[in-house]
Amino acid sequence: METRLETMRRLVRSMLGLAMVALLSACVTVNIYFPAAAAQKLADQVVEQVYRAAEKGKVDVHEKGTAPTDASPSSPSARGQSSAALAPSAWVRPRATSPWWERSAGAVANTVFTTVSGTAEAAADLNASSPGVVAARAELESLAAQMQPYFVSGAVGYTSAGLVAVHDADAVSLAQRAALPSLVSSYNRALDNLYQQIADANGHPEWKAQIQETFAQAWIRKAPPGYWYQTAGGSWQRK
Amino acid sequence: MHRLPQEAVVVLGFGLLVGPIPTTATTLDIHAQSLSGPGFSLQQPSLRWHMQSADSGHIELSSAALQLRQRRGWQRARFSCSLHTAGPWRCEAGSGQILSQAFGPLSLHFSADIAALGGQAKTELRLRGNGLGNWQGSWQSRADGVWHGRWRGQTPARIWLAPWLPAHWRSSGTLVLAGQAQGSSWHDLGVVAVEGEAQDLGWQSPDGLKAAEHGKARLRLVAVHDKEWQGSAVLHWQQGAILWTPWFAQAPKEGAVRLSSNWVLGSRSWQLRGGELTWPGLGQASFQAERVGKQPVHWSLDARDVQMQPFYAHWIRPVMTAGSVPARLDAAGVAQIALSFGPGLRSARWRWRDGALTDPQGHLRIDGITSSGHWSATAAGQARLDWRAGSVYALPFGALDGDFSLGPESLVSRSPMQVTMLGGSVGVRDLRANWHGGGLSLRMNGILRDLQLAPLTRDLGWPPFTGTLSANLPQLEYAGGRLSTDGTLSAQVFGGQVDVQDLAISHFLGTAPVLTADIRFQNLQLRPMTDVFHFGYINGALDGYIHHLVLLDWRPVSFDARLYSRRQPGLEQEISATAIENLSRLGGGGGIGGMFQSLYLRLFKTFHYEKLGLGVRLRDGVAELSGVGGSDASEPSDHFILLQGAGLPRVNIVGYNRRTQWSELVSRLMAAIRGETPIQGGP
Repeated sequence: METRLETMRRLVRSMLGLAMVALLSACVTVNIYFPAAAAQKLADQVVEQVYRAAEKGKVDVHEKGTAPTDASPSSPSARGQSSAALAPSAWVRPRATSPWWERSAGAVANTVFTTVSGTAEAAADLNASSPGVVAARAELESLAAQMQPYFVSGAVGYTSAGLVAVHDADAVSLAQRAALPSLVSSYNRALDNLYQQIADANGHPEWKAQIQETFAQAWIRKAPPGYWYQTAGGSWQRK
Repeated sequence: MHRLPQEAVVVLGFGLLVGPIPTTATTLDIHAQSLSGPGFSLQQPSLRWHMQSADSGHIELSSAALQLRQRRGWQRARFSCSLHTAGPWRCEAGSGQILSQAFGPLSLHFSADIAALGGQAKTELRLRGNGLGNWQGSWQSRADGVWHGRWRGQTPARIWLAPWLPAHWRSSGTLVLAGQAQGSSWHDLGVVAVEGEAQDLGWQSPDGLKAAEHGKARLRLVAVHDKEWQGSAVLHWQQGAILWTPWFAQAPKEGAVRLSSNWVLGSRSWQLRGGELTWPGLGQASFQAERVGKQPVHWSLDARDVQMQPFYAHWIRPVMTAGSVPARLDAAGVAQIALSFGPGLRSARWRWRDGALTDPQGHLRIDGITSSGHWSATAAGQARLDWRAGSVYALPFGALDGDFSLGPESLVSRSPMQVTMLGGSVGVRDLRANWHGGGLSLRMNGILRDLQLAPLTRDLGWPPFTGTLSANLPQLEYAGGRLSTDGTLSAQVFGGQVDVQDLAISHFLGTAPVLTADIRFQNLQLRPMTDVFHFGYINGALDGYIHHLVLLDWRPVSFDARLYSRRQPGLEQEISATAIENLSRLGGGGGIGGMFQSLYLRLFKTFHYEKLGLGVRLRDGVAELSGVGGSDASEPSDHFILLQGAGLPRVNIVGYNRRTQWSELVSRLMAAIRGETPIQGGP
């Protein structure tokens, strides 16, 4: 009887030990996955703005373009107590105002969720408002305005890698053709810089390739009719 | 293969012609395996002479393959004509066909007069081929063997351009040519003169990045052979455009581009001597070029009276990176430029006067440029650069007198330079520029002396500061479009000091410059400051900082700033009612709205204060405000104290809106500075 009791104690201790190990493992293991949905949303917004800027031939450096945040103009934290306190629309990230016990409960729940699922997305949104990103976007939009006639004529098109390439130099006049290689080169540098800046702004430089891939699809998906693009197989198609 | 000696060919030919002529129809056939002579060889030649009467007959010549001088590629040649031997021999109604590897099948019509054996001869030729066009010409030979020929024809340009263009290039257009040639014996060519005109000439590389279109040009070429070929050529380019990416040139409207040169063509070398180029609207240049064996081409060009506006736009700007500042500059002035190449640029010498550089976007302008110097890829050079005045971002600056040493990939200032600016001066020492690998980097030591802030703020449209800015910048660096400093810029402002550290500007002069810096304020006197800004009267002193300042396109994007009062012995800390009202609006309130508060403020013009403080943390367009306690002090989270009063009557200013939109805050500040009613914002 005593032996069985000792065995039970050992078993319970072992189970508790295993549970502790499992709990500790669950607490220290954080798997950060690329936020594909947020990236696509951001890519769509940036791409639309670049296409718009190209059509207008105008660059507005301070026109903001980020993935939407969860703040709203009507949120209590954003609303001031006088008429001078404006709701800063999409730029407010309200601070936590819930009581400590509620936040603690949320943290516990989150730990449990993490333990169960073992994975988590790093963020709901991607930050695209860092100075580096905004400057990169401004540079891209400036060049996009110069690239516009080449896209419209079919002289250049987007590649499946999120860059641009010469499709048919014959589509533009000799005078326009002279600047084409240099423009394509500068535009690709600006695109590459944009992808890297977005990855850096979100604290994950290693996301650059995935961001580039996401943008590659957006450039083609959002391209105006008549634009040329290159398929993954290397053939050119017209939208 | 049977090869006859040259003498045998001649003896056989004459023997047949001077032999007895039969009175009945006779056919003479001669066949050989091969036949060669000076400058030619024939494979399987044959001759058939069908003698119909004593003085007429029909003659046919054929050969399976021909080689003329060193040129192969002629096959299946067949010529025939009616031969009349009464009087001067005549070959009439001649025709022929030959297959040319270059031109395809050719047909030939001809007639010939032969005065006597060994004497004068004359031939009229008409040549036609699908690929060769139409040609007609004449050939005359004297008794001493000297011959003279003329021709005129029209041909597709691709026939003549194909040997010169790389494979798979397309070409189009028509060449109209007329020429004369002369030789001392039938296989000798001594003098050639050609006049030609190209019409609607064009070519294009497979990728379309090297091309020409609608070209019209005239060429006059004279060549004389004496041991080696030499002569002269004159080309007039009248119409059309040429693309040689990244350069594009169009025939000027002012007149034809004229290119002339003497030339020498040896067996292993060629030379262009005394070349002259006249380009209306651009300038004139002399040039020469030489190539020996397979060595790189060495050529030099000495340009005079070069108009810098078109020269920079068409020949320099295209090699600049698209989107960069040099790629959008306009240049002016007149220059002399001497360049030598081989391979690559080997040396340059220039003199530029009455020059100017202008950025159409208005970021940079330099007037009154004078520059001269020489540069070598292998030796030391030197340069001078002077300018009269200029402006950068609307800030005017004065004259420069610069003297530099040049290396193959570097430039070093030889003496300190100084430029007047904003009532003070900017000194530059030890300037060193490098352009290794195509990228430009620049380092220097800078000294700012007594720059006046009043004109600076006026020119930039900022709030009107007064004071002076001085700084010693031990290291000022520009690389990859980023301007950075190592050192502290110190400005004497409102009786205090402002120190700027870690100043850097990315995308300088670009589309969206990004400025980063850390700024510290010490002992700023509030009274002169509020006097200038019409903010209302405040007496006292301020300390503070702006950490992690980021400006994008010269507008704030993020920073952590705090200004707080600094108690000084003997300095009263006072604030006027107007300043209180403005400060309350700045802090997010709607001003002093209550009747009691208004009466109270009107009753007392000034108030004493214990502490004054404002903190602003800008992120994502939203400013988080804090008061005397700072953002992380023990202030209650729902409000903050901007002004903590002292004594009686006492006024405290308490803000309840910690978060506000940055643009709204700036509007309020500017309205307060201008003494205007603040803009009332809405959600």
